Amino acid sequence: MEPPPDMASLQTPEKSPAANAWRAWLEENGPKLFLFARQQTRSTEDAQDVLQDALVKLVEKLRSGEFVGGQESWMPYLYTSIRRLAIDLSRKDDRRKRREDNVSADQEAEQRDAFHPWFESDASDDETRSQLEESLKDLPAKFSEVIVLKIWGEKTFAEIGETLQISQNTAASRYRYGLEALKKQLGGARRRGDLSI
Amino acid sequence: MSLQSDTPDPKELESLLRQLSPKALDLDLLDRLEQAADGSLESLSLEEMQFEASLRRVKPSALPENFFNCLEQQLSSTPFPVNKKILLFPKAAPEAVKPARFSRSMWSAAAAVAILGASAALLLPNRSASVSPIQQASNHLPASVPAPLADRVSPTNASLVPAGFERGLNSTRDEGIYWDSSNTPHRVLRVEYMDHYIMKSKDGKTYTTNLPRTQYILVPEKVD
Repeated sequence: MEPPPDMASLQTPEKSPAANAWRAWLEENGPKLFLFARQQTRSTEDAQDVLQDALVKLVEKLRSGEFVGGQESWMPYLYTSIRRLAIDLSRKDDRRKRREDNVSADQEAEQRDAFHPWFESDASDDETRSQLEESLKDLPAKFSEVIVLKIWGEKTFAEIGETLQISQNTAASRYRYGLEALKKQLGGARRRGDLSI
Repeated sequence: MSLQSDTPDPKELESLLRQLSPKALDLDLLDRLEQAADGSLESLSLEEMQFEASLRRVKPSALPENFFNCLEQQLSSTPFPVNKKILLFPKAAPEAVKPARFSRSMWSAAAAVAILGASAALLLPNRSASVSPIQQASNHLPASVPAPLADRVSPTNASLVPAGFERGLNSTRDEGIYWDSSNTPHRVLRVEYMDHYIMKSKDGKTYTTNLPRTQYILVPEKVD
């Protein structure tokens, strides 16, 4: 029996320079943006929707020449877009839920999310990954969004302030409060040595 | 402290409220305000930095494969601006730019020499009666070069004179950016010509040879 074909060999040969560049950019920045989208939304599907919409908005502006700034401005724009789209989606969902009171749909979404973890892990770190994800979800959103932007988005407090429309000092204090709260939540497991962080 | 009646008058209420005093700030808030005032709020303690570093070691998951492919498909048709000067285009990169241009130029140069040779032979006063000028010119062509006129005209009977030459520009296309071995960017322009060589025989017949030609022009791109 023949071995399964190597995925690389199945890729379309001779991709255009633009396609190769976009792929590389997406591989580098996609995970960070997706993590933020997941923190801002209630399910993996919603996170995919807002990320896709934010990217489409960006490319539309690039194509029309309306985008102000160079490539270094893409990530701040995308983070801001994701946040706004997530807020809009949340408001629509709230209105829908008040109409439908659809509890079972939420439970199904939670079950689907269990198969799409927020963080990479190998077998030894699976507990860490799982605990960290749960702790971030349990934190108040105003703390977890700053933590996600600072640690995995690699943003400065000034940039976080612009994205979230808060002052730099507020971003810094929320970050430190958030870290403290996260440490406490993870504290038990860390003391037992269950976690690698 | 208590109100004398269920409907206190404003003065009594005001008096009661003045007896209250705001609670003192808790220590955490005091620390935070002090740090905001002296600009040290953004400075993390050693313990905080260590915790932050340990969190950073946990990497966000990659995008699900189907979702990644969907996004890639939507993005790949958009030019990718590397910077203000350089834009990558969403079309196939030119392959073997230099060799294609080089070989095409050789063929067209050889054909041009053949035509010129034939024209010169026709105009020269001492011509060999046994070999036609076209055949003489064709004899000088490299064996692998197609002899456009020789293919179309009997080399022994016809006596052709050059009647005209036209160069038609068929198309131009921007092929994107090419980086040479010294890492200098060049904009690649593909120019397609159709050269028309017109010859007339003594009996008034006109023979036209159409020779397509593609030229790649590398224009150095200005970078900061």
